[in-house]
Formats: sequence, C-alpha cells, structure tokens
Amino acid sequence: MKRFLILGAVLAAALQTAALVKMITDRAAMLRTGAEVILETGFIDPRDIFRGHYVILRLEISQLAKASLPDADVPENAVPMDIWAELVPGDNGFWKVQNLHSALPNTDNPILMGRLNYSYGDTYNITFPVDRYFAPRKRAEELEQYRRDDKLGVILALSKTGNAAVKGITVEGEPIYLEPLY
Amino acid sequence: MFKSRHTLLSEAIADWQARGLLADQAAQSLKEDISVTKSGFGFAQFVILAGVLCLILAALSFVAANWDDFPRLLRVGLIIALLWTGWAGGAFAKLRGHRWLSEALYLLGCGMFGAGIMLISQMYHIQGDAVDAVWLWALGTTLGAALVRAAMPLIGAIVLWGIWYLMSFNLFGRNIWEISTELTYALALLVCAGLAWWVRSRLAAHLLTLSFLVWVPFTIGAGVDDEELILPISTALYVVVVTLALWLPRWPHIMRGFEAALLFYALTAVFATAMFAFLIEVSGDGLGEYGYFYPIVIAPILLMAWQARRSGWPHSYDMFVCAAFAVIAAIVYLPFNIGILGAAWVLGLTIWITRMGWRLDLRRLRVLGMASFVLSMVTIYGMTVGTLLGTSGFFLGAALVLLGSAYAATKFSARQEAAT
Repeated sequence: MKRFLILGAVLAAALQTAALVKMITDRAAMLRTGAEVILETGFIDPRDIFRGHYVILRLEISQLAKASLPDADVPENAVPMDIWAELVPGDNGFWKVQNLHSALPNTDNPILMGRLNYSYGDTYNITFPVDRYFAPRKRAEELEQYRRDDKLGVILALSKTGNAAVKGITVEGEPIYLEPLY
Repeated sequence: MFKSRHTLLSEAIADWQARGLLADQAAQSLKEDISVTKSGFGFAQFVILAGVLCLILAALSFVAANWDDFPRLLRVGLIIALLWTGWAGGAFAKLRGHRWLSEALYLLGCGMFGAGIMLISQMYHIQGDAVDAVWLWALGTTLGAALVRAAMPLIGAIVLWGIWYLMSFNLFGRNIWEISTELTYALALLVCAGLAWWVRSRLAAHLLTLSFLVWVPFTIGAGVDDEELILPISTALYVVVVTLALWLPRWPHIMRGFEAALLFYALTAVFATAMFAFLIEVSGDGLGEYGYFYPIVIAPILLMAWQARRSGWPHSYDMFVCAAFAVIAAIVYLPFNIGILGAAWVLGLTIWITRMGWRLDLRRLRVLGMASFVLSMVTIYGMTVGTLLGTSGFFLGAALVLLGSAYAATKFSARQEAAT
C-alpha cells in the first residue's frame, strides 16, 4: 500500500512534468528545424486573464481575397473547417498565401495550418494559431506604438504539418526581438 | 440550537441507551456505523482547501503578472518544484493519516500543472488556443487523480473537463455542434465516473450527474440534422434515467446511496425539458412531429416496470407512471395543437414529483415538486394571460382536479387505516 502510494504520486508528478517539458522541447525543435517565413502583421495590446500581457498579431493573411486564390480547395458547405495555407515569398519582403487546401498538401512550400471561419462575399476569413505574442507590459506597449506604415512582421518557424512557433518580430525588415531556444 | 443529522442520531442513541431501550452492544455498533458514514470534512479541512486554492490562484496571478526578472528556465523550475512539492507532500500527508491535507496538496500539484501550462505557453509564445491548454490540464489532472486515488484532484478534473466542454462551443471559430467534442467529453465523464465510484467521492458523483444531464441535449444537437429532435429525445432519455433511478436501489452496491440524488437530478431534467416544450408550444413555434419514436422508449420502461412489479419492488408504481408520462410526451411531441394538454402535462409532472417526495420520504423531491409547481403556475398564467377566460377556466379545472384528488386521497388513506 505504502509503495503504491509513493509510486502513484511520483508517477503523477513525473507525467505532468514530462508534459510541461515536452511543450518546451517541441517548440525548441520547431525553432531549430522548421521552415522560416515572415508574415506581415499589426499589433493590438490586450491582456490575457490567465497568461498576462500580450499583443494580438493581426496577420494580413487572415483576410484573403477569393480572386487571388482561384485554385483554392475550399468546399463552401464544409465551412467552418481546418485549412492549410501554402506560403511563397512575396514581393514586399513578406510571405504570401499561394493556395488554400482542405487537407495537408504534398508540397515543398512552407505550410501554415489555420481555421477558415467563414467564406463571405469575395473574402476568406481565417484564424491562424499564431494570433498573439506574449510580452512584458513595457515591450507590449512599445510594440503597440508601431503603426501599420512601419511594416511590422512576425518571424515564424513552421513544421511540415503546418504547426507554427513565433521566432521573432521585425520592423521594416529588421529583427527587433529574436526568441532564444530555451 | 441547530444540529446535524450525525449529532441528532448520536444523541438519540445515547438517550435510548440511558433509558434501557437499546442494549449497550447494539448502541456501540450504531455509534461506530454513524462515525463511518460521517464525511470528516470540517471547518479546518475547508480552511486547508481554501488555502490551497489561494495558492493556485496566486501562482496563476504570478504568471499573469508576467514576472520577467528571472531567466525562463528558473521560472519553469520553480513551477515544477511546486508541482513536485504538491504530489510528494500529498503522499507524505496520506502516509501520516492526514487525509484532507493530502487531498489539498494533491490539488496543489494539479493547480501547479495548470499554472505551468499557462506559464510555458506565455514565456515561449506557444500558440494554440486556450481550449487545448485546458484539455491538457484536465487530462493531466485526471491521470493524477487515478494514480493516487484521490477525490479532490478528481473533482478538479471534472470541473476542468466542464470548462473545456463549455469553451469548445464558440471560441476560435469552432462549430457549436461537433460530435468529436461531444464524444471526447462523454469519454472523459465515463472515466471520471469510474474513478468517482472507485474513490467513493459523493461530490464527484453530483458533478458528474449534472454534467451528463447537460451533455445529453448538446450531443443530440450535434448528432441529428433537425434541431426539433433535441427536446423529444432528451425528454425520453431523462424519463428512462428516472425509471432506472427508481429501480437501482434494488442493487445498493451499484450506486452506494446515490440513488435519491440521481432521481432528483433526472426529475429536474425531465421538468426542464417539459417546461421548454410547453413554452415552445405556446409561443407558436411548434414542437415538430417526432412523438412517433416514443414507443421504442415506452416499451423498455414498461418492461422494467412490469419486471419490478413481478419481483414485488415497491417503486414499480412510479415506474408505471414514468411509462404513462412518456405516452403523454409522445402525444405532446406529435404535430397536434395540444393547447391545454401541454400545461396539464407539466402541472401533472410537478404534482407527481411532490407526491413522490412524500411517499418516498425524500425532502429534496418535495422541494423540487413544489418549486416546479409554483414556477409552472406562474409561467402558465404569464403565457396565457392574453386569453383570461381560458386561463381562468384552466385554473378552475386544475383546482377542481387537485381538490378532488386530495379528497379522494384522504378518504382512501382513512379507509386503509381503518382496515389495518
């Protein structure tokens, strides 16, 4: 009985610790090996009830004109749905969406997974899981000072399956914050 | 002076023993039996639990304050050290016989796990929505509860699964009716139900029953194309649960005294659906035309009631009433303009619940029955006030039926008493 009690408590603590450590190592592995892209974004500063200060990353690719994606594989009757955005380098230093897929595509281009909320009129509205950047209050306020004209960017590391980790922030193409691995 | 059931029983036993009505040995056995059933949860235990909850909230606030003065890994190390303190301290306290301190420390471990998820998500900018973070927290807490066989982490896990379920509805563009979410939640509740039975946690059983009853209509909504099916199927399932709750005390080792609570919750759910149905009917929206499937529900209820009567089970009468209620439900859910039948159906239900409360000596059923009766009367009056003549006629009819029943019941019980 005594042995089982101690073993159970140690196992519970070990499993929970392992889950926390895996969160950190998975993200570090993605930063090390993931495909790097820079996406254009805007910032808004709110506060998370659980997780402190952060800036909302309003990615430009969250609103996409349907006309720019004639080959998009998006069945209208399946919306809302998970989608995979295929990214290619754009002309302005930021990456852009070349195509949308309803399943993980077989391509060499970087892929970012998101959720197509609705397809209304001539626009696709998509939520990407890289929608916030946590920062101390001071840094969050600094980031909020930048205007849309300042060409703000978020550097992402993307896995083969379309998961993303924030690698840093750029202003006018210059990195102003870069994330350490640990 | 206010006295608990435990104090009243102890005093009564002492009194009977002193007056020679109860033998010393029997009195001692009764006293021991009462101490076993006492929960052991006192004010001191409450203070310990409240203190641990404050610690968890302090850790979450600490995370929210975005404390940036120490390196990231040090902060992670701090949270993990607190997590291990909770689990190791809990095991140590249990070995020393301090049950509630042990439960509180285990809860601290689970709280630190959640704080760790939030902290790491924040510090390392790990993306994904809050729903997934709560899912991981709930899963880790459930595993922890199973590994140490503790009630408080299990209760925490049930609450976390509930939060996850509610958050899954409309956040981050998720579809409200996703069957995979419903099935995951059902699986989590089943696992927690197994653990609650193993751990013998009554509070966990209450939370689980409520969770299951709320889960039913949402899952039907996720599984069917026509939303008009939600109410008829929910009512049918709840009536089956009531029938089962009436039969389950026959095997006391299954529910271990929880049967009355199950009956109470199931009857509350039946009343809620009947009331909704009535409100929809009088608002003119229509209840659909799905009463036709009721025979497949009425048949097993009748079968159970018949089997119960054959074996002399005293609650078989109420089980037959369940079948009668389901027959009227079938008519209510058919495409007729039921009018006054809907109101009579709801009122009849409240009278039946109240009567059951007296007959089975269950105070909570009496309270439920009377409260739902008052609520029904007020609602019927409010909904039909436009046609005052009809309203007055309905209440006159209801009054005559009720007073007539009361007169007949008094005569019947007087005759029974004279016969005995």
